Amino acid sequence: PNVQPKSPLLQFKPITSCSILRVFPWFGLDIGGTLVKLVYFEPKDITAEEEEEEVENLKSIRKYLTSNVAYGSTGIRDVHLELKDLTLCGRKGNLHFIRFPTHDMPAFIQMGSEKHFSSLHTTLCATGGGAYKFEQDFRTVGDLQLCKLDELDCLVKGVLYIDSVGFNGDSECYYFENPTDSEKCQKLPFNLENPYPLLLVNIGSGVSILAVYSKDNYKRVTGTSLGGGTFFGLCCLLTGCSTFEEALEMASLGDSTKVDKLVRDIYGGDYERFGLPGWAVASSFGNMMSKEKRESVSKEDLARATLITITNNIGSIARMCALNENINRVVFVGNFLRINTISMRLLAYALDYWSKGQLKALFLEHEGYFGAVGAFLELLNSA
Amino acid sequence: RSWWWGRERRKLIVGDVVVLLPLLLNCCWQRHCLQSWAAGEWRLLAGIPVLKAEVPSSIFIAPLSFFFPPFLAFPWFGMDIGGTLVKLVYFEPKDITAEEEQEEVENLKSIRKYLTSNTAYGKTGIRDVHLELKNLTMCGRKGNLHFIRFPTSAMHRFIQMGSEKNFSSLHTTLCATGGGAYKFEEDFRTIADLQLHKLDELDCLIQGLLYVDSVGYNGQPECYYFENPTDPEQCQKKPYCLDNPYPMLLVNIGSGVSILAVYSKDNYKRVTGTSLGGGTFLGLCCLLTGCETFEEALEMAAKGDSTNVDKLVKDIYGGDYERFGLQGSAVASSFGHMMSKEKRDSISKEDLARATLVTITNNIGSIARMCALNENIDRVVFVGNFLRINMISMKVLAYAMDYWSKGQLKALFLEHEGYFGAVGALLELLKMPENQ
Repeated sequence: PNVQPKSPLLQFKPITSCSILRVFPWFGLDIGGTLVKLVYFEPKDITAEEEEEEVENLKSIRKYLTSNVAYGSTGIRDVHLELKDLTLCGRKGNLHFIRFPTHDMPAFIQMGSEKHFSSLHTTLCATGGGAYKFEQDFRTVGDLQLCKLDELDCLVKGVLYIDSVGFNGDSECYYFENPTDSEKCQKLPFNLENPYPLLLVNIGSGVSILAVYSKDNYKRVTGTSLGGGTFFGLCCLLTGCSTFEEALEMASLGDSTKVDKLVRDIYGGDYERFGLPGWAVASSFGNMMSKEKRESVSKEDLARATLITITNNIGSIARMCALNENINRVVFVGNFLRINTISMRLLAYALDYWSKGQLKALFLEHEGYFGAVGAFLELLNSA
Repeated sequence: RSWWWGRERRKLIVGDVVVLLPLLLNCCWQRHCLQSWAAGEWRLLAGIPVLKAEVPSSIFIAPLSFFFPPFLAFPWFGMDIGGTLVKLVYFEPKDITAEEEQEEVENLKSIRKYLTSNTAYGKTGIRDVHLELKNLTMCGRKGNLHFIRFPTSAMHRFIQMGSEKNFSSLHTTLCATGGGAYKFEEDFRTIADLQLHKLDELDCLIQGLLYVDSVGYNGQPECYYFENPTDPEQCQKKPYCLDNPYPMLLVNIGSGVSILAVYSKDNYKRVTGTSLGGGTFLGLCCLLTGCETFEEALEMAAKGDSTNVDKLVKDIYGGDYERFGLQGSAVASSFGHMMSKEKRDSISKEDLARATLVTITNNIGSIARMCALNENIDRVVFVGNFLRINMISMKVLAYAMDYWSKGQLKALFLEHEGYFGAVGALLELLKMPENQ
């Protein structure tokens, strides 16, 4: 609305309702419990004219976002996830994936205010709990009106969209073959063309489990509060680490069997009657009631046990839901799985083992960004 | 049997051959009686136990049997060797005749006196006196049932003690259940010369539970529930009649958790389990707070505030997440605040203990609820020693079951919490024709 066309040629450019009403920049925001996920569409088909007319702050935002991979001390752009040459609403461009801690939300809003973001784009499509929690701050500090969207609606839409456009020619969806064999374990593509019905397990700070029957028909089956936030929080307490990356690194070096009480520790072997193998965990952290054992484990062992415990619990609950809902494909998303191959492989194995091969664990490359993508799509839809 | 043969030998030494023959006959008769007793072939004829099938010979020999009724040699024990605790039930006979007392072997008497005149054994053994069942009639004998527990880590001491007290001379079979019945079987044999009769823990759990509920708790009901669980002033413990128990969902919370769907006395299935159980609570608490015992951990938890540790829905949404009916006060991410250094520095050990308790409890409740839904069962019975002196968890479970199911599910509890496996093992002993 603030752009004054100078060139008469602009009047003859094919104009879709989208491009009139959807002024750049195009963002989708998902403000979660721990992380804020931002998707940004960078137009690559800007004509010389358009560039000339581009308002200063819009240009500076575009350049700031696309020429950096880190923002401030905590913002990160996941370059490897960039989707190139997408066509959306008649425009060609790249989709960028950016994240920063929700803790830095006030600083983000402040920045929006300083850069006069409100003069460009009075509506910002946002989802996640923070869209509600920070709505007022956006308005009073940043003079921005948030268009609030439900996080699970956006999640489902985002998943379906990204899977449909693919990952720069590669498959978005994959699974693991031989997940427990470190040498033979392979990541293989999975065709999600006929996705329904699907069990979608979103592992963020907490966990939501959805049964998706069609594009517009899904229900939230259940959830659990033992999620990524629990793993991270417990790790910080038990090991003194301070980032998710540190926690995962420690976990990769530890041995959880020193911390957990296994079936064989109680039975001396398998509990055959009910098909529980000796290596199954009977009581997570069960060895830690003994002072002797507490003194003999390392921080890495504790980190590993925390990871295994949370992951197995999620897997177990997901399995029960899949059974009840009669769905045999379980898709795991959310940033708990970011750079977390241990958990992904464990989920793949556990689902296969305990269901005797009936269930398949699937994963998606864009893990935690689907809510933001869904919000972004809402922006384009609302005309 | 062995005490009987011992007496026999003494009589031989004295040279009382006249008594030998009828006694010999009676011994054979004893063996026969025990077998048929177990098979239910007895009936009473003029107050005298008599074999149904062989009335004539019974009448002849029965009077002798009257003086030496068939019975299982004492002591009567049931043992459940779990991952963290060993649960022992002991039947103390209160109808011992003067004769019986006279014939009682020394070590049997000393065991009886040791167990019944103490409430603590060694450094870690405890007798839960308040749980004692009085005036029970079991296998024709009247007596009290005692409930004793000690940590599984003291098992070797226990086996050693059994060896020192020559327990094997009294009772060569010991009915035991739980994982430890398998794990320690060899130690029992090699160190104490005792043959364990191993039983499945879930079979025993159910049989024990049904039995204790049927005899009642010294006139009081064994089963109860909570009314108004979240209102500290209105919360009331109320009796529940478990006369028609089936179907029921049985959630056994020990070191780990097993969830069973029980359809009838002999028909049940293990629906699922979770490794996040009592052992997880205690283990995590010890790590996070430095406490050493379950009692300490619970005491700390009673004083803490878990909302300082957990990230609630309102911390993420600024209020309720109305779309899916999640109240602002619901926990969105357990321990979710602990990723922030600032918050870590501001919470207390008591807060951590509370958060651990609430997290484990809510997780169990959530899984139990899903199972109840799937199995179409509306009564969920929680047992196991995680709930011992753990009112907080019981109330959380009662509330959670009711709230998340919109009143469809009811959480029930039993007074003898973690002892049902051991009771079930004792019941198996009493079914045996011979106690060798």
